[in-house]
Amino acid sequence: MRIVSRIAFVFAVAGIALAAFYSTGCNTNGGINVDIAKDAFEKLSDYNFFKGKMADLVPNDGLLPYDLNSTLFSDYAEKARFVWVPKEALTADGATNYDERGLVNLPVGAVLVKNFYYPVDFRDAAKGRRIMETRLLIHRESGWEAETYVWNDEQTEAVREIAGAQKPVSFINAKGEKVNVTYGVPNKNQCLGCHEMGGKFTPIGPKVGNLDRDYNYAEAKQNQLTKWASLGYITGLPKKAGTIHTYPVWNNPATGSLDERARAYLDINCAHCHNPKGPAKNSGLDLSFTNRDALSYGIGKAPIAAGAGSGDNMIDIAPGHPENSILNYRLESTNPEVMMPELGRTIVHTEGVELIREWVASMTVSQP
Amino acid sequence: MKFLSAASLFIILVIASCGRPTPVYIKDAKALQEALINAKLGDTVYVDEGTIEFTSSLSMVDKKHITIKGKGMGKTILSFKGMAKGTGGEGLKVSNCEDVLVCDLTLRDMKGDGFKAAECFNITMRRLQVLWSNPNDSTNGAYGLYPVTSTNVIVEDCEVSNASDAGIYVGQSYHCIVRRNKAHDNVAGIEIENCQNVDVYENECYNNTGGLLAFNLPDIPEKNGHSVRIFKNKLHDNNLANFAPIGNTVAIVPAGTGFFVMATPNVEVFDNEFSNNKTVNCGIISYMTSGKEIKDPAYNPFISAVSIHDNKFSKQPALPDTSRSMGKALAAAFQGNSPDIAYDGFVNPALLVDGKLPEDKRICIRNNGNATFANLDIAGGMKNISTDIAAHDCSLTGVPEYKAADVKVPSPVMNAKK
Repeated sequence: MRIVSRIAFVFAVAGIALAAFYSTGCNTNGGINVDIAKDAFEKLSDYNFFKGKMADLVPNDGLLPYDLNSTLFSDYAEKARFVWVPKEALTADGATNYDERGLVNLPVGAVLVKNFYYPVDFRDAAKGRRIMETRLLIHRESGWEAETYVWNDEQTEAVREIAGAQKPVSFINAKGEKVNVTYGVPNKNQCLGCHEMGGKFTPIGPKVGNLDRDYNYAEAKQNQLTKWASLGYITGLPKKAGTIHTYPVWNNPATGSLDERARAYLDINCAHCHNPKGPAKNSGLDLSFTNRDALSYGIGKAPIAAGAGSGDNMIDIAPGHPENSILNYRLESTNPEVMMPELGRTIVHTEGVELIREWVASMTVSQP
Repeated sequence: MKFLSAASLFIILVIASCGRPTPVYIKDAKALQEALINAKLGDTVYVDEGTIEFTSSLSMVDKKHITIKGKGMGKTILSFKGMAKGTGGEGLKVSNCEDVLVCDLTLRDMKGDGFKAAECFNITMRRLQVLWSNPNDSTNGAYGLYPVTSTNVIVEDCEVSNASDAGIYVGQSYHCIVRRNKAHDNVAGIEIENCQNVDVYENECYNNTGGLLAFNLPDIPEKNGHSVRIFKNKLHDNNLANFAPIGNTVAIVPAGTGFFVMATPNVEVFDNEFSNNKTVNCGIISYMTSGKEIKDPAYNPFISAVSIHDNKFSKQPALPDTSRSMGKALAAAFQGNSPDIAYDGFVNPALLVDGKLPEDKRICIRNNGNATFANLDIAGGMKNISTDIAAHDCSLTGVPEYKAADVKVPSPVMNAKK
């Protein structure tokens, strides 16, 4: 009988606590609901990241939208990115919190929220969009962890998926052509395929050089680095202007030279694996924006384990000759054995391929 | 009291479920992928008999002490024929794991490699069959079994065929054992590349382009491979026309190669049987002979410290494969009677002491029955080809003691669970 009464007591206490919780309205429209100590929610709506109609992706208080200068190609999917850093997670020591490659080390408790969607018609945003999935990177005590939520056809909810999925989708591209894509939702391990660095799960996008651009915030237009610094998300930024190596926008010649734009494109599309600590380090190829060593950048470099990926070419980048370069061959292929990147794309990125062709063709001998 | 009886029933159930559970055999692709994602320390994931069709790569990341076990080669078949684009090239990929055993499965028709294990510590591949349906097809995946950048690697009792590069390829790894495998109808049967401390024994390699290769290659992080023992292997009838895509290192290998060692020091080759490899049963070469340019200043392309002893050689007269430079050189000098053992004649000038190689850096060839030999003098433009085997009658002394077989046992956590 003592056991029974104890159980009853526990239930009573829990009931009061629950009642108190709901009466304060914590879980309605009040705020974002993230507890990094708990397992991931099964439904995206449970996090309360967005207010109003979830598919409008209007951020709740504290969820900050951001953009990058150059972005990963994912079968032409567009991305709406947000970062969440709870105030209590911030430290005030002011020490630099980004590494030599510029990657911002967001504190435990932070969450990156990335929504993948296709406009119905790339020429007219008013025609609406189809959100495919929302990926979360959650910074837990044990490290970063990836979760992905696949949106339903009604666009009212997204449900957690760990084993991956393939979803057919079609859209009208910028040239007015209809494109059919089998959009791939990665499984949890495939997330690591790109996000692993030296054995640890690591975000890819938020590097200072890639964040260095203006954003139209609800209040006013502001440089993202300035904004992130004012919120304490980035600390230790250099005071002097021009000391950050800003990534150009790969398809905007006004933002950088052909060489800079090509390297920014290869950085964001390839260097998450092809760097000295990444999953493809065994290839010896380092396509980081910061790498200025010709051989390890692929210029004149022989392949090691390319298999059919060599396409009967002898070297990665043959200056002046994209038609003899393994790099171009692999970017232009959709054969799973050949194509690079090997995850996250099923079609050729025509505009990116043109950029890299033009760049390799423009190279003379051994450009460092 | 009702409460109490319900509680005690619950306890009984919990205790009952703590007993040895009957294995749950997975039957479909999605459930298997989920099982590999959710696997906990010490788990065994069982895969049922039958063919499971995959539309994407299967993977496991960041796990410790996991066994993936099927019901046997040819019984549990993972087919990757229907792999969709953008889902990865490999059949199975295991990365950043510790103490992993994968056994008793067939993997077939991958778009890329069969089973890649990267950044693993204690990885065992046992009784795995890896194959592609189409023979001689350059669009087959490159490697069948592909442990890379790993430590304590065992590949044993496996069978690999029709790979467009190497059937079993161990790359940039440390402390590896490759034993009792069969590799046939691949471009290379077994390739050990840039590894340190490796034992390769009791394997049978036949009907490949090249049976067994031990290579050091430039332009990669680990280019300092050394200490490889090759013993009690049967390397025979490796006369398959090379179907590797050009640009890959194995594309330089002439059909009819039993064994090639290239630029790897401290290699001991003994108690093997070499027979009917038409171009050369055993080749000893520096990277220069590959015809490839060397741009990596940190790479040593020279061959040194090799001992070939107590092997059996036999060979029927046959023309070497003249489509590759090494075969062309042999055919020019010897027509249909190429030697069992050929050395390209390169000597690293930096190693010479008073004009001679020290005892621990020589190329030693001794006690191989009636094996024929040639120094092709490729270094000197083939002007002084010599068949004087006595010039290599030595045994290597002073090489650092070799320690491949001390592969570490599984961690105490694993032992305690047994």
